Amino acid sequence: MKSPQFPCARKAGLVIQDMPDEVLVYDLDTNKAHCLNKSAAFVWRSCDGKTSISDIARLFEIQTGDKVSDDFVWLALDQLNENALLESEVKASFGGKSRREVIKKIGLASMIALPIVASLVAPKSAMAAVSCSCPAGIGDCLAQPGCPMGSCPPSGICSP
Amino acid sequence: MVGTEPVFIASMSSSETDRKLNTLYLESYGVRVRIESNNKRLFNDARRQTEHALVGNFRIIDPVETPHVFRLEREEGGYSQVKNGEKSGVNKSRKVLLRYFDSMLRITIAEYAVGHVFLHAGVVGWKGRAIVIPGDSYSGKSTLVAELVKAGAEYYSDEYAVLDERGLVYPFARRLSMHTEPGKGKSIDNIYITAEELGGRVGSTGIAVGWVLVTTFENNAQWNPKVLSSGKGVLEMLSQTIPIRYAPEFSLKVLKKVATHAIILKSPRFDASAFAKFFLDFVDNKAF
Repeated sequence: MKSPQFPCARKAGLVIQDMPDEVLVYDLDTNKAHCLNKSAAFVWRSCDGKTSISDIARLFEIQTGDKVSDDFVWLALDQLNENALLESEVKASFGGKSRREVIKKIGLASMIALPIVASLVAPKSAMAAVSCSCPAGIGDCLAQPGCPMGSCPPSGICSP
Repeated sequence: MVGTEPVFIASMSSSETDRKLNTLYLESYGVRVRIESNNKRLFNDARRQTEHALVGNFRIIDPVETPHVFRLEREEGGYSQVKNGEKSGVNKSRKVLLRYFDSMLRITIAEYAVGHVFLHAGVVGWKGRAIVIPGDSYSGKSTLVAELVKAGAEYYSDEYAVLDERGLVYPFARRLSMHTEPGKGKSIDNIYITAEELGGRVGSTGIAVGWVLVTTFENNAQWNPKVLSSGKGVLEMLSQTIPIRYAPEFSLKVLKKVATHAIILKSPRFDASAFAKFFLDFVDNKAF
């Protein structure tokens, strides 16, 4: 178990795609896709299990020229943790402040983009998605296991 | 793996004989499929429906092991479809079952296509570049695509953006499927229109994606587009990417190609007929 003060980015079971200013991560276990903005991506890339939170903050300053606090790194780690993108779970320590308060504080004090991880669950298997659908919305739903009979609703999906 | 049974066997029951006589092997976008039926009329209908489902984008192949097998059965009181050994639909109406077969076949090809990514989207060509409009069924894509075609854009598809590994989009130009309003006591229905009937024409070559338009109709909507970053753009497209769970790595690679070259706009839109002309002017005149 690695110390949360030396966070380690998860690598296994992920498809990683570098974008010009972002990183896209697809989690093969959960079928969730994550878009890490530049700040979040930097923190994630720096999580090698050997670099401390404070050192990540310092590395960020060197890279961008903008001074950031440990809270800034914790804010990224909190989201990375929430999305299972770290090897071990970390509990964000914002010194008794809420995440909202920290966001406000960092946002006011700095010109740099707050770390943001945007996520989305990939759509179900296409076949599963149509198994309860009306064929091209033409009337009645087919009798299939688990799918209710009846007329086709405007949604085109027979399931409740 | 299914579809391993030999094609010709020495002794067969009459229903097995019927099935062997009524068997079709095809390949579409690298996906091999066997279609069979115990009924000649149903089989012939299924062949015609296959043309419609895949817009002719398939070739008949010699008997071969296939990972996907559709069996359409005439049975007492109706019809059924068995996909890879599992009964996936029954109905008393042949027409309904064939429409369902159409959807399932098309989606099978879209999900397992080799070297292509199928995105659930409307697509038109405009001045050599594609406008891709990802969206769910009933989100108004076909209506907007039809209006764009009427306004002079080339028709590519009202259902799928078919992307190759370079991120070029190809026509999947089935007749436009327009949903009618459900009347009192009536369910929603579809009518089908060709691009030519709209006064337009169908695109013929693969083209680069110039714009991705993430939009839905809203009453009294103001066009106030937000230009999305390429990463956010991929997330928007990913929600409509058919093979994302089956081939995530390849899908993301292709979506990245699209997103890094296209302008990705997100905004609600107003009525399709007014919006189509407005949007084509917008892309012509707006300097990004």
